[in-house]
Amino acid sequence: MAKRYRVAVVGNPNVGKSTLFTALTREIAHIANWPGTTVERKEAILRLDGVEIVFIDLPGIYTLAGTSIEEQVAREYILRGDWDAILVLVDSLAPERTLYLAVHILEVTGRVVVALTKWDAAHGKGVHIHVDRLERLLGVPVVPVSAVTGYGIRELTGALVRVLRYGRDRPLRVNYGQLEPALAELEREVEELDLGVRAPARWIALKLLEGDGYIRRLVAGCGASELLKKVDELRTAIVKATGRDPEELAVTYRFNFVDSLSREAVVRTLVKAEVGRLERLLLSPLAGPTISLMILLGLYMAAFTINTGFPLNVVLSAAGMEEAAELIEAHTLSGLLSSVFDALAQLVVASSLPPMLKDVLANGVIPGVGAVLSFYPLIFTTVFILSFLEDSGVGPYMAVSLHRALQVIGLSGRAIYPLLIGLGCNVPAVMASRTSPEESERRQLIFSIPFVPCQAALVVAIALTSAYFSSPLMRGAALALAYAIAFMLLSTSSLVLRRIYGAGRPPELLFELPPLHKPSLKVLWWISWDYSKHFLKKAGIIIFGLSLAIWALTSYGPSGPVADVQESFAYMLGRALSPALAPMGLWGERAAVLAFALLTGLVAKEAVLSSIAMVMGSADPIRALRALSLNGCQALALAVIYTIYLPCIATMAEVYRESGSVRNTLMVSAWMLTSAFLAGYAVYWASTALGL
Amino acid sequence: MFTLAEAPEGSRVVVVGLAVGGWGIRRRLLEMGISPGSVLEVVSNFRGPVVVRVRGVVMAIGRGMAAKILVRPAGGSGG
Repeated sequence: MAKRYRVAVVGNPNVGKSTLFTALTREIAHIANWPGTTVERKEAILRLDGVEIVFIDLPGIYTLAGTSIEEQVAREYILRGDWDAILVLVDSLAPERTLYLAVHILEVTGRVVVALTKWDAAHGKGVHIHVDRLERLLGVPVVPVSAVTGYGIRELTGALVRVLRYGRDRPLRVNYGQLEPALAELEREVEELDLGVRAPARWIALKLLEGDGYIRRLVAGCGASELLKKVDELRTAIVKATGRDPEELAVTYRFNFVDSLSREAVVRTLVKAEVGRLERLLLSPLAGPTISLMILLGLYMAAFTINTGFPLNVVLSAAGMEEAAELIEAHTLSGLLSSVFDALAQLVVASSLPPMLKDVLANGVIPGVGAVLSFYPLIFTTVFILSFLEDSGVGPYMAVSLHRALQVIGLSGRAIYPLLIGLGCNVPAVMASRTSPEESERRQLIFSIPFVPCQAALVVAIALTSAYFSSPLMRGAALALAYAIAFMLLSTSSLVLRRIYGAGRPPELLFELPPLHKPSLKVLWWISWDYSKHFLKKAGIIIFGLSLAIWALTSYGPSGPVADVQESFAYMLGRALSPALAPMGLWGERAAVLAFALLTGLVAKEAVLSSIAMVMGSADPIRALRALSLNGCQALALAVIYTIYLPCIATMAEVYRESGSVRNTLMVSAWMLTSAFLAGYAVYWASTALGL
Repeated sequence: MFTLAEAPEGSRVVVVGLAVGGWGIRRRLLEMGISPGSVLEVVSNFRGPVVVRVRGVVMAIGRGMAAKILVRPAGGSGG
């Protein structure tokens, strides 16, 4: 059997890690330009003659000493030692900075291969790296590669196999000058400890001197309090003797070493490339935010038009071109899909199948599958557009230019990304909160993102407003009101959370702005496919299962199969919950149906429509909604409530997973429910008072 | 000596010191190449984050953080 090895892949964000990972392993990997999106750990297996290499993709990091989730994940993985070699990526366009992490890792182990990424572009940009010399200086194989052209990939795997078979753990030794005496002293004592980590004593001693909290805790866990006392004394002595912090000294010495490497092995024949004109424009005070917003709005409008015809049909109807608007609606992806599924259901009804089976298929299975699939194109296009922003590098520039606007609600420019994703789906948005390097902002985002109205909530709100408002302008206004209330609540929550987690101080940003470039369509396709597959798998099963469950709940009652929906379990549940709608003038069966829909919408918001459709016995949700004969004010208030009332179960699960707190997850849900109903009542009363 | 937040757009400055509190933030600045002695080229400095070029990479630094980075003008040829 082939020998199996594990290789950890490490590199700075934007170093081209995900691209190389894909090129190396031929596996679909997530690729992004946004600092810190490769948070998920990915593995891929490469089989060569006689060896099997498992690649573990670690998050993009700048250092092994940081405090972000990404850095902690990478550090713990490396220190645990569950690897046979480490593949470190160095950007051949910016070796002066990206060699820093390589040096940092080489101080831990010598079982390393360094890959110089983006080699195809290096010469064009006037960067020449003396590979042999760098190899000699670092003491490990250095291989120039290009994921785009495939150059050097074979050599890279060859070098990895050599290191896996014969590589030694012997680390690189960097001269720490003024820190050396203290280092030597600590190293001897660290050697006597059993920390259970795969790092040389010198490295541990260095981290202790640098004041690294993680390593301190490790040492404290060994009961070596005497050693820690000595560390503190040495640190104080160093500050006194040099006037500088030990960590500052350590980083400076390390950078000095990196600089000496660059001097010997890197030649730049061109004056360092200027910041591009487009990049400068995106960073300029007025044009930057304007362009960013225009790009965002334009892309979103395009996505909506393709899928639901949303802004265009409203505009056309308003201009008196009803026919054109209807034509567009019918030819959007949602429109086309729903007509296909309507036709399918009719085919089944007209068939000669047993009535019971017909019922299951036409009312349970087909609408269920239709509900799932009608969201698929929307998710796909949304993700495609977001990936375009990430991969082109436009996203980070937007984060800078919109930073000030987001600071108003206590967030940084980085938050634009999770918030935007939230408009598509809250689940990946909560996950994307990890892009923030600040723990406090992450928590803020995790708990306020559920207020962002997702596509599913939008679809429900659109259906309600379409059913009850004939004028497209009125529909638009109703939707805008629901969104405005949702964003008001989001801002309030975010600011309150800022007070709790961030002591009220605004979050700061600190990240890299990669040069803009044309994204690869192939890569965008992969990402969109990955995300929407995730949606189909996770949400699809829930939605489909729920559709069937609703069908069962509406077809069965305490006494078995029922002919009348009023005898079903569904109605009983709805009736029990219906008093919550009484302040809006809704009682009886209507309230029961609406309350039941709220309940099913918990599992997935889009299920609100299918459950109303099923209970009302109509295939068309709009017709089903009209059959409830609400008045305009009630429809408006319900649109607000359905948009906000609770995160779906998938979002709640993600909020819990990211925050690790059941209590906070429940508190957020309770706050959403309360605020949604209060806002709904207020809208109902206000619009009634205004005589709408 | 002044802070990075006050550095005029287009200027080149040398980092003198980091008055940043909090180990994490300070450390991150240091390891992203913003340590005493490094040369920063101010790409943009309006009300939002300060954008600088350091070690061949463009970076955005929050205004509050930039106000705690002490700098002095770099020599014309850029030390």
